[in-house]
Amino acid sequence: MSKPRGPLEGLGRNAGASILILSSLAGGEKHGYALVKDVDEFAGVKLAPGTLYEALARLEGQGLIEALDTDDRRRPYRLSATGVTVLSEYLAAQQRVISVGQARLRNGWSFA
Amino acid sequence: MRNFFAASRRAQRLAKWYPSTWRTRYGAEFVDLMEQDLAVTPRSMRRTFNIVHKGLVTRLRDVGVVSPVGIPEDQGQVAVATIFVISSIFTAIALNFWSVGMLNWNGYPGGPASVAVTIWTGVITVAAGILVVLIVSIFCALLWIAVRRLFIRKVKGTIGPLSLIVLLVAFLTLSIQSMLRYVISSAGIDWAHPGQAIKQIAGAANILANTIDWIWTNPLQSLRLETNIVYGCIPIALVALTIALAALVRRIDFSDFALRLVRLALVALSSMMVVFILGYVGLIVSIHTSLGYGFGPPTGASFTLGEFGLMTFMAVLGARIVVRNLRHRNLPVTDEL
Repeated sequence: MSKPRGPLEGLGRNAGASILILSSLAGGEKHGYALVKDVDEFAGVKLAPGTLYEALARLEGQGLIEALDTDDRRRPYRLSATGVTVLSEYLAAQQRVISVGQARLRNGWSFA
Repeated sequence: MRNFFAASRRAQRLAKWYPSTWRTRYGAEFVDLMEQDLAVTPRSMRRTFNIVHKGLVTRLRDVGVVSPVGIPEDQGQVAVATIFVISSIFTAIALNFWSVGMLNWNGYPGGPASVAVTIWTGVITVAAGILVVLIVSIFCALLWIAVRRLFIRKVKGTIGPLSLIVLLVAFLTLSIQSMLRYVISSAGIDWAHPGQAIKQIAGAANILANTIDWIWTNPLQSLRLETNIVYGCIPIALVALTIALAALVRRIDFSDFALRLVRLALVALSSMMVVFILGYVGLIVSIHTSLGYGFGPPTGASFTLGEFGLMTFMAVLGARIVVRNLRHRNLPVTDEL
């Protein structure tokens, strides 16, 4: 029997770029170049154009983000309601891992 | 300003690594992003490599070779078009292989062929027969649906491929009319005895394939004759015909029902390609087992392995596209056929 898959589990090695994009859009709607700049500023990661649009297409296909109508070439994207839920759950899970890791490091980490 | 135009041209050139379906959706915003990025970082090998890589992967996705992402609006039709092109070329080459197998079985060295050779010859005969029937049926069905759609909705961009299809069908019919006359006429084929008829069809297919093969392998000698130029153009016309039909398929939105039917036929096509490959391998092995050596290659020896390799590649590719496409059922739905 196959294990149930969450929306972010299908992202594979692109999960990193997707989380960065979702986190950036959590701060408000942005177009492609604004996303690249924002991710660079808050995470120090320069998203390459091919990677960015692959992730955007995937996230849009999964209904985690929405493209907004515009007359301009710069099409803004925003988080969908599902995207907010998925990002919250993902970050909460990562937060638990971080807390456990940090606690264990504080309580007696040493070389074996 | 000059720099901006240069950056804009470069951005548009880079966007061309992606397929047209992708460019329709993301092209404008991608070019906009690239113009801004090129203004800050004019040269970057990493960026160019990333775009080329992702562009090519998107092209493979577009034809269904790798898993789709995003919103593959016409992925179903792209898969239909791709498998149709692949299987048509496969069938043309497979008929040549089948004709050699059948003629070999008929005049088996040292008496009647073994049971295994007979069974494998039967397998490739059935597979080749089903492939031909399916290709012709799908071709006629797609053409009929496309023409009907054209008259109902007057879809733009369909006149070109449709005119090309008519021209190519006319050319192919005229170029092989003598062969067709021989096959169809009761004098040429003994329809009363199916076994004899199959043998005669194999003979006709073999003559046609060998003629074309000889023209392509000896162009300097053969191209002096006008008829040879016509025969030599048959493979090109066949490939062009399938591509023209594929282009037509991509321009027209078929109904969900029509696409389901065509997809079912494509699953059968893809399966038959695999069956033919396995059957031919089985045939070669059984001949080696009974005779200790294989029979002559269908065409020039140097062509055979390459042709069989190409057929195997096409069969695997077809199967892969079908499996991927069945997994991701995002087909455009319209209200009528």
